[in-house]
Amino acid sequence: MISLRVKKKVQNTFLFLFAFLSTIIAIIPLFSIIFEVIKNGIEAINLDFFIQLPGPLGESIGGIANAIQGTLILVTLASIIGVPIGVITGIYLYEYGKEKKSTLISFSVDLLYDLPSIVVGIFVYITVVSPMRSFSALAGALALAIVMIPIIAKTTEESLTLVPPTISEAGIALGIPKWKNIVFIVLNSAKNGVLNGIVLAVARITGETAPLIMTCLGSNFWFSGMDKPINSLTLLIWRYAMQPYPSAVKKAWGAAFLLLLVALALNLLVKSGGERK
Amino acid sequence: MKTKIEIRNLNVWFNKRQVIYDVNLKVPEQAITAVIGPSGCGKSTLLRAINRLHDLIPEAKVKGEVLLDGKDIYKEDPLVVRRKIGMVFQKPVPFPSMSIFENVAIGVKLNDLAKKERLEKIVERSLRMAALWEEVKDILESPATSLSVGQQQRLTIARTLALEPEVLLMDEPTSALDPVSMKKIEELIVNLKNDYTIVVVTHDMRQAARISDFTAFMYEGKIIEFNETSELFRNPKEEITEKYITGRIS
Ligand SMILES: Nc1ncnc2c1ncn2[C@@H]1O[C@H](COP(=O)(O)OP(=O)(O)OP(=O)(O)O)[C@@H](O)[C@H]1O
Ligand SMILES: [Mg+2]
Repeated sequence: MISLRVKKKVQNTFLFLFAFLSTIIAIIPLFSIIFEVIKNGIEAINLDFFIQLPGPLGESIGGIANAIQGTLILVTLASIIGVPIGVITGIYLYEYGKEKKSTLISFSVDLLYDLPSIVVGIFVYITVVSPMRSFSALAGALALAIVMIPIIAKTTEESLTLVPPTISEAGIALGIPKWKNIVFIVLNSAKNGVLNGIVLAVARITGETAPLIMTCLGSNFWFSGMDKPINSLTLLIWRYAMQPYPSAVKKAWGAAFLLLLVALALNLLVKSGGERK
Repeated sequence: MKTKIEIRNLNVWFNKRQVIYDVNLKVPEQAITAVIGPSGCGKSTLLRAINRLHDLIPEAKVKGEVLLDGKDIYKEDPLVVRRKIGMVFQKPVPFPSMSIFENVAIGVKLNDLAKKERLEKIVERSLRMAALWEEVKDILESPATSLSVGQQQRLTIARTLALEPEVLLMDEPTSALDPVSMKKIEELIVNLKNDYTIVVVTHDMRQAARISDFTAFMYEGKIIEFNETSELFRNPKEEITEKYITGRIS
């Protein structure tokens, strides 16, 4: 009897230790990355970092202002295109997803969701960059929007599915027309989940690099039009981190630090949104 | 007494399974009609046929007529029908992301039935009729989910009343509630009958006896007996009715 108990206890302790150690092993690389980014990133941060152009490669002056500007423009434009399409697609999947005629759409969304983003980049390169004969901000935003759409569509559909059917029914029983009921009653009841999905999608595209390499290329100058190349934080990291010049590498660390902060902020937003409801 | 709703030869199927058989019923105006019967006999199905909620379910098929003031609701615009014939469900379902005020106003708003300025009046009037105004008048902007379950049920009644319906259908409106809330809602229903035609489905025979003027007894998808409530309980004509009200079948 007693020995059985002891055995159980030893077993439990062992399991606990094992789980604890595994967690530590998993966390160490994560924290060392974060630590490196913070340590190296903070050194790069000063006022010029935020307001100056990068300047000639190799010189230790200048900042990454055009990359910040570029990321803001690209993410905003991508969201303007991607959020409505994503939400509407999600609503469609919720309403008709189980019917045969929408198999194609739900299949496409799943496929798009799993598609490596560089493929999206190639697609936009072929359909937009090539015909326009120029890398452009527009092409970059389109590529990011395409990355966003399946994420938002899926989270929207899931959030809508979680709304109890009795709520939709109560709306219909008030004589509310079908589409108004879906938007103002059901979607409204699911709005926290939908908003979380949008924030997650924004976080995701803020960190995307591959589709931008093939669409907006990067630039050393300020934004100069939708049809011109544009810089972004990720493109700047991609190009500068590989340079032999310490000053360039430092700017890349600074940009990485900034992206880390943005990711952290967006994740906190989702968390607090989750607690609100 | 004038008939408000007349149901003629109503049959309802889910897929191939028939659950309502040839129901005929005349619901009198400005009175409370109770529908009683054992679980699964089709009470909810009958009620939902009266404001066309089965339209939403592809596997449901409805045959027969439901006349509101002599006109078949299945030949009218279902949206208008549902505004005229309101429904209160068993479990209170306030819209969770909306305030108390919005919950009451939303039906009127989305149906474009009133200007913004009139909304406040409509909301107050509806909450007063639902006997909830005094309890919520200072917290109209609070989330509806912060109310107790009994208050939530009165809120859904107010939400339905805001559309100024002519008929109120209630599907076991008190079965999810505590006795105090139940009593409040029963009083409320009795008060409402001066202005509305009310049909209440209930499991609770004592409730039917307390509040209703007429009672229909349903069994296995058919209306077995319909009469004045006191008469039906005192003097059931059918053996099966008697068995049910004396508790020998449930
Ligand atoms: N959506 C549906 N699909 C298929 N069958 C259904 C559906 N709704 C109800 N039914 C069936 O119809 C029959 C009558 O159900 P209904 O809900 O009308 O009974 P009820 O008298 O309201 O019962 P209760 O007192 O338990 O609420 C039941 O056998 C039920 O299983
Ligand atoms: Mg029922």
